[in-house]
Amino acid sequence: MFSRTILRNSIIKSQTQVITPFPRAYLFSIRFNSTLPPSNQNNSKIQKKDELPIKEGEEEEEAQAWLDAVKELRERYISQGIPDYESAHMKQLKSEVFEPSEEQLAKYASLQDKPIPLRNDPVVQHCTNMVMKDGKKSKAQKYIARALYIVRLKLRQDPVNVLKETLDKLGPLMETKTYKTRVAKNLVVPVPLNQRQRYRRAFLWILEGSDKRRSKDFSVRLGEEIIDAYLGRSSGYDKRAQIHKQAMLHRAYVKLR
Amino acid sequence: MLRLSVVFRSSKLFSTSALQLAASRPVKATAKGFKGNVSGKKNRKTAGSFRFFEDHIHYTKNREEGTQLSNLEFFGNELHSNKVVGFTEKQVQKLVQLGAFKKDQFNELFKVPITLLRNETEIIHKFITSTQSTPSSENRICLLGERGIGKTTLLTQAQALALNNGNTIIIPISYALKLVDGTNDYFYDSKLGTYTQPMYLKKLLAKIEYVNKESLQKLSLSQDYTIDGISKDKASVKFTPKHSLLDLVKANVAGRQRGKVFQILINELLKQNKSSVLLTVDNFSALTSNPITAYRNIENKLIYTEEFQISKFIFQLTSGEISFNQGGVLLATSSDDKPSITLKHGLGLIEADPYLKESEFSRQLASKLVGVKPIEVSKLSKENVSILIEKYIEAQAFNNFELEANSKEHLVNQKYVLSGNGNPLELLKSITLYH
Repeated sequence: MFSRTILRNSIIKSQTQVITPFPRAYLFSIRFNSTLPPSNQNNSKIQKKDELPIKEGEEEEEAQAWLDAVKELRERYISQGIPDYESAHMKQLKSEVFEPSEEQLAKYASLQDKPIPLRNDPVVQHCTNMVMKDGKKSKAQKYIARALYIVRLKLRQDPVNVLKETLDKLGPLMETKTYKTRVAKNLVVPVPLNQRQRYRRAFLWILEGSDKRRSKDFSVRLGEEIIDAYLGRSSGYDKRAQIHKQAMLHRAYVKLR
Repeated sequence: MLRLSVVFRSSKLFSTSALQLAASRPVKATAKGFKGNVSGKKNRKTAGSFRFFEDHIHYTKNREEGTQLSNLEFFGNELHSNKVVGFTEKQVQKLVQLGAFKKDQFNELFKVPITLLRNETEIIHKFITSTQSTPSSENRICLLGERGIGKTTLLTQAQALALNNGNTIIIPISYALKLVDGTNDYFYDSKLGTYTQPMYLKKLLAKIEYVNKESLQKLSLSQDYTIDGISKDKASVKFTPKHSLLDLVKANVAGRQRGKVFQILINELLKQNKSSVLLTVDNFSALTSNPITAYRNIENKLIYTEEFQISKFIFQLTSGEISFNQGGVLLATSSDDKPSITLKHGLGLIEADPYLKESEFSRQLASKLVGVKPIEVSKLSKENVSILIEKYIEAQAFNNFELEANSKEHLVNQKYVLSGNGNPLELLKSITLYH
């Protein structure tokens, strides 16, 4: 049905201005060429096109001569009993392959025990990700790098170590979580924190402290706050003590299995 | 009662004329001031430095706690290339006054600022020695190169060499952008026929006085000069040949007359033969990139660079229109300024399109740079990087994990690549700001 309607539409479109002498029913009974089986003549032509015509010329003769020569050589080598007559070619291929020297092998062996050095320190990277806003990591890296440079200038120590030490000192060991019992009062349970969680809370306090500083440059504020936190002057220590106190109060609810 | 009151009120509303005619009570004006914090929260920020990063590391006394490098030789007259040397305390005092040390050079890591002697140092050394004997029109150099390549550092080395000579008068323009960016006060001096910048001149004269005290004292004025007072009541200042140039520079003169003092100083320096004069201009490209300054005249039209006294003096020297008997001109470009065709055409490095607009290319300024020798500062070699890294390891500028994981050879290779094959600023950043 579908093909019929298309057909009809196409005929009507083509003959809009010409008044057809045929009645409507006759139009539908017309058979077009496309539906007819292909003729044998056309088919043979296509087949001929696909096949490459064999030319008889000088080039052909030369190629045949080459092939004959190769065949002859191969037969001669086999008859003479020469082993690996194609190895010369293979050697050439082999010479291009990289072969490490003894020195390099020794170095490789010595480096096997050592781990591949990390590009960035994971703790610094964690802090960078916390500083980052809107996915602008390079900006966050710049802030952290500058803050750590200020730490280096002031304390004359490795700032990454200083940061790690500070986060370790400042990070709370426990935290309280509230569980809904649905029966009576809620349960407040102290939960231990892993290293990453501890560092996260400590660095958040450092960021909070840095907001209260005077400079309009974030890296200066952060650098100064890290120095103060390292020297034990941050307000984060009070928060840490308070959290610990709360955890101690609710120590009865700690589940020990 | 209620009804009555309603009626009473409503009837009163009909007669509003009395209200309108009545004189309103004068409202007492109260000073509200600027309301900064709308939310009402008091956000007190008292602790810590108020500065930005660059200023914070530059101005806080970090250098005092810096590392004292062992076996550090001082910047003298023996200049072997590929060697790190430090400046002496006397040199540092004067170089700081000259504005030679910039904020982004990471000098605060060391107790004494260090510098690397490179191949270009020898060129600068030859230049300084030739300024002692030949006129300034023959010694005109412009340092070119990419950002952080060491143009300002080479300028500092030239100034230090000139200070070592002891017989050179340095006229330092440490940041030429200040001349054209509209930040200084200015007025048209009808006697000089140029615009003068009194506050900038005050600082410049103070610098000249501090740095060249000994040399200026030796030179006496060639004739009498009278500089008028501010008003008729104030006495004028008189100078006779008994006075030295130091007296002239030191004189407490009104701002309106400062242009004249500077002009007398220049005229006297042009006449004398006793000592050489070196003009150093850092950020020189600011002048060529902004041929039309941010300043406006009384018709509210922008003023051309050369109409200012100091800029005019600089371009007179670069063109060779005026020349010191012994001396030189040392210019250093900056990549902070937009790249200008004026500078490159003037130095003969490119040919400008003849159809360029005046705003894109200043023919007048370009013609003033003909004859100035351009010197392209090259990148550091691997040997240079290696020597610098040694010093920075000694100053504990590296992270511990970097030193533990890599051998020195490894570090040198790494940093050489990270520095873009030997850009000094990038090298320092890759050392100090890498965590």
